[in-house]
Amino acid sequence: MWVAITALWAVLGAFFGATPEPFASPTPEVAGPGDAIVVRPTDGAGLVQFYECNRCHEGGGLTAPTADKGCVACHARIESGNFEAPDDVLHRWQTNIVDLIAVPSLTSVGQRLKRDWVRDFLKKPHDLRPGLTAMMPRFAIDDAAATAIASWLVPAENVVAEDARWLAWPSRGRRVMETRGCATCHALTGTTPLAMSPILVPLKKEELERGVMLAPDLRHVRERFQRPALIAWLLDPAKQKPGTPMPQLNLSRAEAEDIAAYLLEVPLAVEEPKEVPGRLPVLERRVTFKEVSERVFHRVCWHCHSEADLALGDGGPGNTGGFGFVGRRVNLRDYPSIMAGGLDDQGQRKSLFRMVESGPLKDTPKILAHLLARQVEEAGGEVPGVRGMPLGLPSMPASDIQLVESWIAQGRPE
Amino acid sequence: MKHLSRLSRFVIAGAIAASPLVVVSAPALACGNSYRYEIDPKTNMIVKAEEALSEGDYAQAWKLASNATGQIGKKVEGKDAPGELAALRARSLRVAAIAAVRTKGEVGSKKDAGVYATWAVDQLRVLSAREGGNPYLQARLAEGLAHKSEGQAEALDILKKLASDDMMPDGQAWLLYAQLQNDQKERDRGVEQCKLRANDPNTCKLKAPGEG
Repeated sequence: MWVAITALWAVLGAFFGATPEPFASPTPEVAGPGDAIVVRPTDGAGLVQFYECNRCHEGGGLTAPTADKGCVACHARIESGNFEAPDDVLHRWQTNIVDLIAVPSLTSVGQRLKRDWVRDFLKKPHDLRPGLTAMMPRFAIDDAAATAIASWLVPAENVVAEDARWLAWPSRGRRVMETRGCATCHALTGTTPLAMSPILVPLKKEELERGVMLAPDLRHVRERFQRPALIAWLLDPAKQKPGTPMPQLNLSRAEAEDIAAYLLEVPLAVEEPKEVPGRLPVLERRVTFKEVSERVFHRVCWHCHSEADLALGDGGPGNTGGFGFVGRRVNLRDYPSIMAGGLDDQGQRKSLFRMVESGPLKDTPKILAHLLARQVEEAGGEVPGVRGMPLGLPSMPASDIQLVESWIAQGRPE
Repeated sequence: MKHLSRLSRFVIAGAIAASPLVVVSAPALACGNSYRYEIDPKTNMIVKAEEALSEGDYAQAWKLASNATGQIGKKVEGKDAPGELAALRARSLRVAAIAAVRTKGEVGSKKDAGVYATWAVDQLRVLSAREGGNPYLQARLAEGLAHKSEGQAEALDILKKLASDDMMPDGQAWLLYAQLQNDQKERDRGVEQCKLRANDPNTCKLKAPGEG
C-alpha cells in the first residue's frame, strides 16, 4: 500500500512538480510600492522609456517597443492584416478594435511645439484631438519629470519675440482656411465655426481618415506653436514632419502668414467647463456580474488590468505595471480576480470595494470612485488620491457607472 | 464634448460607413489575453480548463490542465522555462489543484484520492504565496484544508482574515466560513453573504453534522 502511494507521489512529483515546486520567478511576484523601490530616471531619455511613451507614439527619438508592448503598432498590424492569426480571428479583432488605431507621431516635435506647452500638457493632459476617442493619459508625473521630458523632446527652443512689422491679416487668414477645406478635419472652437469647403488637393481615403482622427482643435494652436514654426508647418507640413496626414496645401507665404495671424490672434471664447454628470440612482432590478462585466470590466478595464498568467506574465499597466505605474496587481478579468483586490500604497493587498477615506468621493467604493474621478478630470478637475479611469479614454457613460454602483450595492453578486 | 463641424461629422460618418476598422465596440478581449488565448494552443487549453472548472466539470478541468501542464513542461532545452512559461504553468497547476480540491482528490482512482488531495493543498499554498496571498486561492486552500478535521482550524483562520479584509472571493467561501464557524451569529452572516453573492442562493445551505 505505502509503496504504491509513494510511487504515485513520485509520479505526481515528476509531472506536476508535486510538493511545492520552485517557480521559475526568482523574486516574489508581489512588487508594489511598499516593497519595491521604483527608481525613476531623471533624464528625459530615461523618462520617456520609464513612462513607455513608445507604446503609443513613434518618432522623436523613441526606441521601437517590443512586439508585445506596442499598443498602437499591434493594432496597426491587426488592422492591416499583417498579424499572424487565423483569418476569422483576425477579422473579429479588426471589428473589435476602435481605439489606439492612430496616434500622433513625435517626429520633429522639437521643431514645432513650445517646450512649456509640452511640459504642461504632460502634467495636465486635455482633449486636444476631437476625432480621437483616446487622449494623452494622466500619468503620475511631477513638474521635474515633465520638464525633463519636454526639454528632451524640445531641446533647442528659440523664444521668438513678436515682430511688430507683421503685415498679416487675420481676417484674410480665416477666408483662406474656409476656401482650403481646413474644417474638413479641424475644429476651431471658441469662435464662429469655419465655413466648409472641399480640400483642394487630392487625398487618399486612408490619409483623410487619419487626418480626421488626428486633427487637433485649432483653438490650442496659440498655446502650442510659435509663429515662425506655425508658418513653416503650414507651408510644408511633410518637410516638418514626414508622414503627417496634414496635406500640402500649396499656400503662398502671405497666405500662411495670414492663417497664422488668425489662429494666433482671433479672440476665442473661454472654454466652458464641462459639467460633471450627476450620479444616477441605484437600480432596483437585479444586476448580475455578467452584465457589469460585459458592459464595463471586460469591455474596457481589462485592457490594462488583464490576467498576467495567460499573457506571458504581462497583465498590463494596471496589473503588473507600466506607463510609469508600479504593479498594483489589479486584475479585472473575471469575478474572482476582481474580488482579489489590488495592492495599496504600502504594497498590501486590499479590497477594491473599500471606501475612499477622504475628499469629495469619501465613502465611495474605490473601484467606483475611479470611474467617477474620470468625469471630474474631463471637467478640468481632479480628485486627490484617485486617478480617473479608464486612463486616457472618455469616462464611462453614467448608465454604466450606475450599473457598477448598483451591483456593488446589491452585494456584488456573482 | 467634441466640437465637430457638420462636414467633419459627415466625413467621419462616411469614414465609419466605408471602413471595416471603425465600428461599434464589441466586448473586447484584452490585447495580450486575446491573442494568447486564441492563437496559442497551450493557453487555449488552460482557458478551456478554467471554463470546465467554472462549469463544475472537474474531471474535464483536471484532464485539460494536466495536458497543458505536461505540454508546457518545466524545462526548455534543458534549462528552466522562462518566466512567461512559468506563469502559464502556474495557471494550469492552479486549475488542476482546484479540480482536485473540489473532488476531494478523486481525479484519478478513488484509492489515490488522499494523495491527490494532499498534493492539491500543498500546491495551492505555493500558488497563493506566489500571488501575494491571492484571496481566491486562499479560499480554495481553505476548502482543501477543511476536508480534513485537522485542517479546519487553519481553514477558518484563513476565511476569517478574508472576511475581515472584505476579500471573500465568492459565495462558496462564505458558505464554508459559515460551515466552519461555531458562533451562530457568524454562521448566519456567512449564509446571508453566500445568498447575496451566489448565482443560486439555494446552494447556500449548511450541511448537517456528518454530512458530506
